[in-house]
Amino acid sequence: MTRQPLLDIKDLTVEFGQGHRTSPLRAVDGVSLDIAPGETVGLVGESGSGKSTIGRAVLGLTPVHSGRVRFEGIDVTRAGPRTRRGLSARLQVVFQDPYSSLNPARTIGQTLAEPLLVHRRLDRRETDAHIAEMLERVGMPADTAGRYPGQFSGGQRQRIAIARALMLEPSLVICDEPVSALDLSIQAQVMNLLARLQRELSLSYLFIAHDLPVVRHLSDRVVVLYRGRVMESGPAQVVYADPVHPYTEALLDAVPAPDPRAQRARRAAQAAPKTTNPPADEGCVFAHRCPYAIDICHRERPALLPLPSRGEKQPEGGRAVACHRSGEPARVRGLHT
Amino acid sequence: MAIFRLAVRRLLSSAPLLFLVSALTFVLVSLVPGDPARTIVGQHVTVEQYEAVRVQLGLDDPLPVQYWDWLVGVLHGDLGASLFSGEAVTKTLNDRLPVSLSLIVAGTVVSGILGVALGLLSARRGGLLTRAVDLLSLLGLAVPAFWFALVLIAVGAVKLRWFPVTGYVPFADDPAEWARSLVLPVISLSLSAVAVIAKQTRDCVLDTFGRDFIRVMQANGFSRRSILYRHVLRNAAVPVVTVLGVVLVSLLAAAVFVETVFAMPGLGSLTQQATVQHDIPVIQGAVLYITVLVVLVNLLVDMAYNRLDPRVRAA
Amino acid sequence: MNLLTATKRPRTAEPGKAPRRPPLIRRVLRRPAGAVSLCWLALLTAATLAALLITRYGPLDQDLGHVLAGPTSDHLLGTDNLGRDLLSRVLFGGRSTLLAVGEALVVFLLIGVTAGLASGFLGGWVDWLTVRTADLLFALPGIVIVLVVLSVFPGNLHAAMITFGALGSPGIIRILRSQTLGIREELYVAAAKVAGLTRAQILRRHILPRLISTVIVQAALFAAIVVTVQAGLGFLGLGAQPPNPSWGGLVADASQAIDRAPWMLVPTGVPLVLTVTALALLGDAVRDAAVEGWSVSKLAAAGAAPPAAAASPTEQADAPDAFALEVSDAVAAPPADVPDDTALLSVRNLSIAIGGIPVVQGVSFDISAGETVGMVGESGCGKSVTSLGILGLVPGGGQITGGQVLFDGTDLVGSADALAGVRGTGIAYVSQEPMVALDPAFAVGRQLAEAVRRHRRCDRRTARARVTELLSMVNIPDPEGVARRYPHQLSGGMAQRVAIALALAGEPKLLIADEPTTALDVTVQAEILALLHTLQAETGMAVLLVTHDWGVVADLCHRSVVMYAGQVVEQADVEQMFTRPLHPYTAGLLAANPHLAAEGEPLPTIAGTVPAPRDWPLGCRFAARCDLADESCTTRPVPLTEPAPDRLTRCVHSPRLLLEGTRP
Repeated sequence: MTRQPLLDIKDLTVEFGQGHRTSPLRAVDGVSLDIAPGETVGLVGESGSGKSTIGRAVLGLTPVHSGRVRFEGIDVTRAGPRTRRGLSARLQVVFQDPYSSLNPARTIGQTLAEPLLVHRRLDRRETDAHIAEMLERVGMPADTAGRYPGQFSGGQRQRIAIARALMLEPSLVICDEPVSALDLSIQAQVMNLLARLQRELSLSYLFIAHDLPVVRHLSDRVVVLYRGRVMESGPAQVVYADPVHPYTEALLDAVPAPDPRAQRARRAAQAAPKTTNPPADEGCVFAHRCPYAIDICHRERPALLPLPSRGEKQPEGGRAVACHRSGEPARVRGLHT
Repeated sequence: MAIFRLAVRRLLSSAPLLFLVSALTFVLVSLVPGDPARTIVGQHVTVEQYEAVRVQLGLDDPLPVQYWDWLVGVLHGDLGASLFSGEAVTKTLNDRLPVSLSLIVAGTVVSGILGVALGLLSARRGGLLTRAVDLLSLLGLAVPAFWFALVLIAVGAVKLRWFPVTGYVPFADDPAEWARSLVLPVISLSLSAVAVIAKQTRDCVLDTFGRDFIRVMQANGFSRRSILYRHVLRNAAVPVVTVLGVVLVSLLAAAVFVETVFAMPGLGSLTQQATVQHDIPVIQGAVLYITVLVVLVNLLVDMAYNRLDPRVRAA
Repeated sequence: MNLLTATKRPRTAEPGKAPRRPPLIRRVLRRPAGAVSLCWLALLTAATLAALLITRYGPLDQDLGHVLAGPTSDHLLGTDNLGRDLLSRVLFGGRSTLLAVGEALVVFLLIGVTAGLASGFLGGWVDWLTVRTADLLFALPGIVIVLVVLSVFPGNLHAAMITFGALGSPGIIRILRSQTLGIREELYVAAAKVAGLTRAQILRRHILPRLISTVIVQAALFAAIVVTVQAGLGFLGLGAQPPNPSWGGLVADASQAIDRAPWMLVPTGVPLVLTVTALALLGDAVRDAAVEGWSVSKLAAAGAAPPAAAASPTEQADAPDAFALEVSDAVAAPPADVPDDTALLSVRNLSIAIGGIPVVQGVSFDISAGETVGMVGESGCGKSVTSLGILGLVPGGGQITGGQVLFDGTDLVGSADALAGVRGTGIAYVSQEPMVALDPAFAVGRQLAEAVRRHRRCDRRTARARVTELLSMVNIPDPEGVARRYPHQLSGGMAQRVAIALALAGEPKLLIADEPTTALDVTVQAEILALLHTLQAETGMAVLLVTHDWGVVADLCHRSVVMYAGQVVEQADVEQMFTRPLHPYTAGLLAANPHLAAEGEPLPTIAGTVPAPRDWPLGCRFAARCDLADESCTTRPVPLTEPAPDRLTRCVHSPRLLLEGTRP
């Protein structure tokens, strides 16, 4: 990392109150990550991993308990409404649900004009021209602006939501499961659109998703989350090809390969899943499900440490793992393919 | 045991309501431009006599003290005496309570049974019955109980002479006449209640029928009877019970009109008379009684929730 | 209603003018109920204000020569016991009604809208206080409090109406609060925040416009109640003092003469009833009109064949019959018109219509005992409808319009007895959303026991033992403990295991699993898939697995049926289908899967979307999205052919595909 990161998150913790009797739920627990200009960082995890909460915390939609969020060098952790308004031109979002993310009572044109209200006072004609240009960019017909969201399919709405995010010139777009609600063929269209826009407009993405193949396809680097903590992070292709953390491994193993022969071989090799007991209070959050857990895993929380070079390999750039046994060579790989 | 604890907790938490209502009534009453002492003694008495009555009524004390005295009295079952008849308010109210209870309980039972049955039928058959329930619910809102009562009297009592025009026969005197005297009042009281309950039942049953678990049960061979009577009804019951609670409270209010029309000596008509006569102690007492009834109704609804919905039970 | 009008609009963008929504008032007036109600209310207001232009009698003018008269040309509504003209008294009495409604409404809206909005939008202690107060007020019997007020301020209707307005406000406070809370959680409000809009802007642009119709509806309903209550007070002698007229007082007058002139009940009561009806209908009309134009269900908007949502009964009545023409015998699959006797399940030419529109056409396939068949396709292709159609449970009031479903040699179509005999014991079903697949009101064990006892006569204890056994079969660690739990106490994966146990209760020969893992996390999905694998090995049951996930197909299935726009477009052994798809749709769908994508290259895509059933063309339904499409594809329906042994495809180019392969 020679350049200053565009987004820099340090030890982010987010808690949700659950009424006064019970202790608050820690949805995000000491997460650090950064995004360089023009980079896509994928945030992967299952439900309850806190991945969406991180996105919302960056956007200021969820209050931060502790930690720090810097965007373009400015601390925005607890930015007030005025700072947020300034940020909104540079920091944007595309949500998962294309149905709830557009106001059904307002035309597409009215929705798209909204970001302009805050930043640039354009006259009617300029606004319309800008909207038309943006709609064309995302592949929507010119008369879209006069219609209501109800008249569009999920894929089309997601294109419109992307257009709204790009109305000003953002440098970072938080994509919160932008293709999860879409059918396979539509999903591919929207993924290609996101990739093309990134090239054309030199955007950075924080790409949040639960679907591992989708994240791999779009991301430069991935961060794997489990119960609010980072398990592993590193270059996407490397992490996918050679996961170090047992959780990453389990996650990748769980995705059935769309290849009958390969999948049959994998199933034959798979061990029965471990039964799940309630997670330990201290120690590794994954220990109760981990096939390699040893004593220390239940007692001590492993820190997220840069991965030491292993054997013949070069030190792996930007790779970090939170596992007590990450240094042990070949323990598992032979055992578990 | 759990249900008992719940009841106690609910009753305790309704204390603020009782307090609020009584205090509100008390403050309002203190604003009365008229003077109860003057009302009692009249214009032609000496200042001493007038003052004596004021002291006797406690009217010379500051308002919080008066309220405190009244509260203490309430806890001892003493609500004062009517300014007109001089009778103890508690006695008046206790005498009239059975009349209102007969009316309201009968109204609830009738509208509950009819409403649920109508709603169920309309949900299962659809078509004409669905329209009928829609029309009924419109009429239930649009036709005021007192006017409907008069129409019933004009038709059922004056013209056909099937039922007594007005009046109430205590159950102890003659059970048959008691029932006969209740028919028209209960019908006029129940019209809107039946409509509301039928519509709610219909909507909830249809809604439940559309839910995934019903389809899963059908697909896995559960019997039609069991699906309808065990699973659909049980799930539709929670919102229906909510409405039943609201309906019961609204029946308390509607009873004021119906009792007046049919000249029934109940709490409602008493409140109406006391209002016309500005008989403050009676009004205070009646409001207290009615509020307690409301609290009890809400308690019943909560206990029903507790029985019906496991999620409420867990919470 | 609104759903219907909405779905009928053109979904895809047309060049030229875009439809704009007319303003709310116009939409209300277009509805008969709305127009009639508004007319009545307007007429009534005008008539009461201009009463003396309508009747030449004053409200107090007595004519002792004509007392208690019925309607005559002179006294249109008759006279009362003092010979006063009833029309005049009704009109003049209406003034006090309108005034009372006005007063109560102002207070009601002032308190209700402010408190409701503040409570929902600001949250925190404001919300806490408002909710508590509203709850307290809501519990009060309003009319009784009004009586107290009237006993303090005798005859003061203004005080009574202001009090009643305040006592009525908790209703609207609650509704506005929950609506505001709901809207505040909508993603478009989050997007507006991210766009930098101020709170005031969000309130004005996103929240208020959506609340206005609610406010109008609530105001209309409350006005209706006020009219009744005001009349009621008048009736009790607590309103306008005689001889001044009021609607309630007129009814009281009528009650005095009920034995002599029952007619009087009519002119005194009917205006009351009509006014309240008009207000209630107006409320309904506004509610319906408010969502007209943009309320479209997700499925309908997706251009999908909506399994349940769009199939409202209203639509059924409205569906043009012309659509039925598309069902043509030419579409029938020639290779296998005769059911296969050896198969466990043999579906032949199954056609299903929802709301008169065909959504599944001529579907044929077989499942042998112990076999797993995957049914693949995007949403709107008819997979779920087909799988439910087998069980005779077409959603949304749809119907099977043709074909056969032979299970163990018995045709299930249209035979309630055959279906009842098969459901649960022959064919069982597992649905997509495990969290809503179980009855929330009963403990898991009781539901399972009911299923067990339905399928085999046994006493309670045996049933309980069998429940434990079933729960152990689906790898639930503590079967007795779980049996006592309620569905809301289970995790998604656990609930799906219970749902599978429920399906196993009747020891079915075929399990239909409709996207059984789509709603689950990937590691939980893996567990459920493994469980299905084991169960199948242990019990030897066949499985029909509906899915959109190629990975799931590869994992579990022997054979796969690909559906597109209501038809089977390809059917083959899984391995062959993955290596050499013989339909461009299958090929495109396989290639679009990011799992197989080449690094750094755009994903191969299929342009466009699945056409809605209304838009199905005569020829190949995939032609519009297909690279290979030419004239031969669009002129006539494409039959299902068998270009290679055991391979079925609905593509005119299949011989070419067989030689060249589909991938570029």
